[in-house]
Amino acid sequence: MPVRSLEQFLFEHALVGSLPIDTLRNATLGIDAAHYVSRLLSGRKEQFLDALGGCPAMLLMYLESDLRVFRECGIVPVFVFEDAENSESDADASLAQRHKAWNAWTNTLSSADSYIDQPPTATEPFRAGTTSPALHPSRYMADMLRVLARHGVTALVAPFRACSQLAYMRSVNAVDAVYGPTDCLLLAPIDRFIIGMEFPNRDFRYVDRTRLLRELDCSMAELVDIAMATGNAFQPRTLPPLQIYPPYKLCDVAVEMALASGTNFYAYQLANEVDPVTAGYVDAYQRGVSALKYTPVMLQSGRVDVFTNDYAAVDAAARARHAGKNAKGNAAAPPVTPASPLQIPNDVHEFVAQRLPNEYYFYRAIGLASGQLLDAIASGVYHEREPLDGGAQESYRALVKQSVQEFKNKELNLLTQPINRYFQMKQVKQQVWYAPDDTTALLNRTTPSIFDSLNHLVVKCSDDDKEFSISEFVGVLAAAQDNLAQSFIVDKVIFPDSVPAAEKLNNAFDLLATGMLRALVQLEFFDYDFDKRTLKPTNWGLTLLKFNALGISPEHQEKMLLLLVLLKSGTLALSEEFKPSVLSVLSEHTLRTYPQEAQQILVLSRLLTLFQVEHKAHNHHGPIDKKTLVFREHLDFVRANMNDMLEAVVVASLTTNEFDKLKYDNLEWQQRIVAHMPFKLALPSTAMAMMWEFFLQKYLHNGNARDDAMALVSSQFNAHQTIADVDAQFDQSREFLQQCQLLLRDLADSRLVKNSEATLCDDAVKFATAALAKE
Amino acid sequence: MTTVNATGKGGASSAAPAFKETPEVAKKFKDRFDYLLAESLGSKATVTTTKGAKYKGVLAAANLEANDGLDVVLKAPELVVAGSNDENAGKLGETLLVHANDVAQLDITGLKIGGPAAAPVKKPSYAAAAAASVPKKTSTAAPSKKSVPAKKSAAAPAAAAAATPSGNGFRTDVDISGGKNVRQRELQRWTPDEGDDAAFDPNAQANQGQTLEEASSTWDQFSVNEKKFGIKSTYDEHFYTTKINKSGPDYQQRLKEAQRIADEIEGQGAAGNIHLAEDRGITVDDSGMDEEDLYSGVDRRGDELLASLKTNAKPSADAKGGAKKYVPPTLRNQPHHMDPAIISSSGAKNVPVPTPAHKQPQVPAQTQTQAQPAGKPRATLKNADEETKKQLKEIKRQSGRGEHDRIKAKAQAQSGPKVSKEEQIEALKNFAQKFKVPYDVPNDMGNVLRKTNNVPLKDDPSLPPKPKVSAQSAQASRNGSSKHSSSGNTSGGTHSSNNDAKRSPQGQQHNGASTRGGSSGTTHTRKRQTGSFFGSKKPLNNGAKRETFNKGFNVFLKAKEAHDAEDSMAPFLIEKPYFAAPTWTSTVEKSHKTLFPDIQTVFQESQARMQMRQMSAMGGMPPVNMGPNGMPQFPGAMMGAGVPGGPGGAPNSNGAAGATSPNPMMGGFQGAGGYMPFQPQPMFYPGMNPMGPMMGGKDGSVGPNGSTSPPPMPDQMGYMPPGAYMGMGDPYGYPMGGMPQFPGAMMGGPQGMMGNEHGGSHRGYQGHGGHRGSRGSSKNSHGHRA
Repeated sequence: MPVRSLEQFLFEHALVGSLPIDTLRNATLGIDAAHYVSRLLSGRKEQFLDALGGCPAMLLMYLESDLRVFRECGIVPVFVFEDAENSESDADASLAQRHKAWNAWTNTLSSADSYIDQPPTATEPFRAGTTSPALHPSRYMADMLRVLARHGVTALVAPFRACSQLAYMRSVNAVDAVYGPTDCLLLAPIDRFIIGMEFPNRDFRYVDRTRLLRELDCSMAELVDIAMATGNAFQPRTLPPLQIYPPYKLCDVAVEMALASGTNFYAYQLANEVDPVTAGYVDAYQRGVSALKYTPVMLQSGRVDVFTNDYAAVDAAARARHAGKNAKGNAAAPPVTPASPLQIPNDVHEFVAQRLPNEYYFYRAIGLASGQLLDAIASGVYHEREPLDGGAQESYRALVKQSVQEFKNKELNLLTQPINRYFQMKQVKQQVWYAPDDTTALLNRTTPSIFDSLNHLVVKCSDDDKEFSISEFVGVLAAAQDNLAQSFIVDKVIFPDSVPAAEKLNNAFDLLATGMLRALVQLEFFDYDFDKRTLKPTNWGLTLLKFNALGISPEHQEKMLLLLVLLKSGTLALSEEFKPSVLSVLSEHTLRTYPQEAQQILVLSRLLTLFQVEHKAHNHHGPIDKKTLVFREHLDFVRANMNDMLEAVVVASLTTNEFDKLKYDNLEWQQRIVAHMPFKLALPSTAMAMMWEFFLQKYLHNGNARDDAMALVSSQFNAHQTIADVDAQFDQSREFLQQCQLLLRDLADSRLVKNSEATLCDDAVKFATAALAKE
Repeated sequence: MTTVNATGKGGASSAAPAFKETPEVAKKFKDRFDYLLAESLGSKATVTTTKGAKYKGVLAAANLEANDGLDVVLKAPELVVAGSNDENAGKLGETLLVHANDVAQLDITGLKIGGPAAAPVKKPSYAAAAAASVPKKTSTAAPSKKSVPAKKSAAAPAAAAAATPSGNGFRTDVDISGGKNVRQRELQRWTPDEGDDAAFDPNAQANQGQTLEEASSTWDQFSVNEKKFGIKSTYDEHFYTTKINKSGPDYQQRLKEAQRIADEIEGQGAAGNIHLAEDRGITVDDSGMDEEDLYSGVDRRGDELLASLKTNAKPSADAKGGAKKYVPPTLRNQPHHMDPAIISSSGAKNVPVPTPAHKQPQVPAQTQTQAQPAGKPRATLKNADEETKKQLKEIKRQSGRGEHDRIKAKAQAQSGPKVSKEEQIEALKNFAQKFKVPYDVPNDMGNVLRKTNNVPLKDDPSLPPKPKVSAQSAQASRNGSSKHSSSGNTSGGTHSSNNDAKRSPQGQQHNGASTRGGSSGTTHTRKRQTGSFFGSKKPLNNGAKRETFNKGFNVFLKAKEAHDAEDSMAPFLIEKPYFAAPTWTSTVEKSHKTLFPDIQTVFQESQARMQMRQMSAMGGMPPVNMGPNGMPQFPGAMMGAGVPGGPGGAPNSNGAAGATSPNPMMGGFQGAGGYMPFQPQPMFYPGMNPMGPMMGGKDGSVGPNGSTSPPPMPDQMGYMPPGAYMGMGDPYGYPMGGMPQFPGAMMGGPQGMMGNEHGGSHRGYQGHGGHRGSRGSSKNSHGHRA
């Protein structure tokens, strides 16, 4: 999060310079990815993103084109992500805006009683703030990392704050320039930074700190004081007396107070330290300043350690310069004495986080391990964030509860076992958004440890270049289905150093396939008993192994597996209504007149949340569908947990040296391993599901006229512009639906879902097929 | 089988009250119903009357307009079931008309409509009344029987239309056009009539695709007009355009120049303006953009608040290369393109002016200026403002002059109509050259006058362009007025060479200017001359850096590297993760909280700073960069009040500061407070007031460190203010005479302070009214805020 309203302040006061991008030729440019994203998704772009879900398609499109510009200009970009907690800027504001927008939408929908088949349009934007759009990094990070890896562009996830990481990189000249938020002003090594890039105009905007300080007549200490009061990446709250001012004016007011009348905000907090609330402000201030000074970063050596940011030295240097200028008569200006290095206090863990092994930070840096689990270990709290729809449904909350047993306890065990014993004892809690005080303790102690119970399971293949995918994985397992135990259980564990390298996991496929099998064993897709040397698929596992046989296309298998896990959880059947119910986007007339079809549409739309429509950009302004989104969030929750699980298994496997960690350099790690890990990418948006819903509804009401219905979809979704071939997308999604139908039929045959569900799905797909058929 | 239930008032209308439907939708259903009936004409039908009789026959006609249902005409009717008291029984003719209010039900059999689909498809139901299940088969030809409405019901509303609840609701475009079947005419190619002019004759190959100008055939609208209507035209193209002198000696050179300028304009790139790019025929990937993005929306990528800066700030890459920059003719003789002084000021000036007003309208202008610190920056702004004004004035004057000249010229032209235009202009030119102002010219006028003299008349954009054509070319293309052009030739020839000579220095000057303007514009400050972002050390080739990121930031590879470098015999082992402790390495065994200055130091520092700020605000004191510990900078100021040996105020020496914060220190502090009242500023800032109570309160904690508690407040008040003020006056060069200016304030201040102090509670300082008040008052005291 940037310093609140400072950016605007800088622009208003013409403290921003501009130069052509060509100036940066040959430079290595460190980019704060969150800032980059906030620049791209500013203002009116993708306002309904939170109502649709998914990664903003526009973002990836822009990223590709910007990378092209970088290439043309000879600039080497280095993207630095930040995945730590609280890295969402203005999370509260964005939540409030989202709630407001949902309310507005519910009102719109419930008052649209004359609505038959022309869906009403949402008006209230779902994203707050025109200045700094809030978007949690988890929404885009994996997708962006994958694009960057494909282009061979360096990307790194900072252990804590991206801007601190960039400051370190700047201080060791690993990067020549920094493109980041206004927080960069507070970091001593960054004397000037790029605040905005206008790729179409091929120029960029930058801020020069020396000039800024001079023109404002302000010292660095005062600047930090102001930033701490307005709120910034290190101290996100706005402190008194600024809280009463509108957010966009904070800097104006603070600068006025500090510079015109000499207010010191720290003194202000101290003087008002009378009750627990206000005392908290002093604490927040101090933690903020300390975090600014001592945030750990990943050093070039790969180790993560405290990087001291001695911003006071900037003032000292300025004074020395000033003195030197004044003493012009003297031949030699007094040399700038390097200040003694900042002392690092012994409680950095208090205001940053506890330290994890360097290895874990490395896995986070390359995107292999996502931040949430690691943060939970370090901070002791696993935050369950509110889903996009608000998460009021019982089934979702049941899913969250269930995840403790099914996923989190196991994951924590896997991750804490290899590291300092302190973490094995440490209590970690799950904290849910709807009842923050009612935490659930996570148990990370089981005997034997989960890894011990799994480490005889090994999947190996001889082909070094084989790329991992669920389909390949299923293929390997299905081929050995009759003697799984013989094929994948090894008698001796492979992690000790004495094991010859050839017997270890040799390539990315081995690593991920082994991880996948172990994860699936924990999710009870397989029954495994090492003592009896048995490894048998359960009924769910049998269905999984049939994926290829059922003709489910490889690109859909990851999604189908998610569906299986959701159905297996038993929290929500495919056609089950939510409790409390969610207003359907289908019209009253449709629901009343065509109850059967409406039910079929419900099933179809739910399945279609797993289908990624290929659109170039999706600046959607039109109807939205909360009911479908709720289902999507269910699936996304499952996805996140599956991702955590696979990561935990793989990290456990790596830390115990089952894999040669010297084999790859950073880019190879990302390209060969991280890029092929399933469950990382954001699930699709609800776009395709909605298109089908409105298509079918129109079709029903409009005398079965397919073309009219298609025209409606085209106009509502601007499909002729954003989607290359709407018909082809519909055809592909129909095929996807047919595969879902086969899957459900198979599940019903195995008595894993009710027969009625499968029948409903059959009917629904038939209905969809008939509607789509050209007359 | 289709069943139309037309009981009573007819299905549609009977369902009306329950059926909330927009007129469009209702109309659609009515249309469907009509369609269904139209298709079923000629089918076998069975009509059940309200009396219970059933008639079979061929449906011949049906009156849809009937106001109470559906009138039906059957051909070849036969009675199937007799009704209760059916008067028709036995006397059936060739046709049978059943009135609408008699029709209870109409069954149609063997209806064939729709496409080839074999499976029965459900049709949408129309409420519950008009459900229809239609087997789809290949359609039969629509019956072309004469279907006469059995009964004309005048102006009866259609049943379905009557069903609409509210016809006047708000309707969107889609609502309105939604139901309409847009029919497109087949477009027909235009072919000329026989009598059309030969120029358009498609057979005349040579003329095809030619525009009027290049048409080689002799289409002369004037001669045609004259021939046909006898109208003689006085039109001369040269009134409107400049003829290109293709045979002139410098033609090739000028052509090149023009080409260069054209290239320059076109080569500037569309600058992200997709519309412009489109105009230039550049293919743009506009996928994913809607119309707004393409043509209308402001490009907000990057959310630049200073979009308007772009044009001003963009440094020209060409400038270094020495090529001339194209300037539109209308701007060429504006003074700021020539006068280096104005250029530099305008280059810098262009920056701050448009931004706040344009881009951030929601921020009141007041706050923008308020946030500006006092002193230097404001002064520069002022200067810049004045410069702009001056510049504007100059421009105005000049254009005013041009206007004046023009009016004069016009007046002369009107007064002497016999004189040819060239002669008039020549005369005017002479006049302009010889003209001397008959009174003393102010100094700054010289500049302007010199310019007007230098600028050739022709270049004045407010004058119509002057024709200068060679005789030959005039003859070649023109049908008369050779006299005009030949006379223009003599003067035009000299004129143009004159013009060229003038222009080239002008261009050079501009060239130089653009370089300067570019640099000052890009850095947005006149002070900084750094042309580049990196200063002197440009980044070099980054092949090595790539390695840094691929091999570096990797704990395994780096450890291996280090291990290899050590050349030790021990095998390389990756560090076990459980070695890492959950704490970070530290250099000092202290909590981060202890690294903050203690409360007294903070207050002292902030007091010192407050004084500085206020003094600088009042006196325009040169800015002083104050460190986190402002103290050391003002030994004289703070301690000058007579405190010997300034105590360590450094933030990091907390313990020591606590121990040494003695009485005199407090004195200095209070002294600082003593002169505060100069600034008639309410004490919203807490550091000020609570001084007394705070010191008392903290006494216990300070005590153990050996410090003495501060002396009572009144004592300090007694001796401090004058001493402090005098002591401080000197180092800052305050005029002593300035002191009496604030006696009232001085007196008033302490009292206010005391009052607050007695108030006691710290909470009081959160009152924001106080703060607002301070802003208001500081505004007054600063005086330079309008």
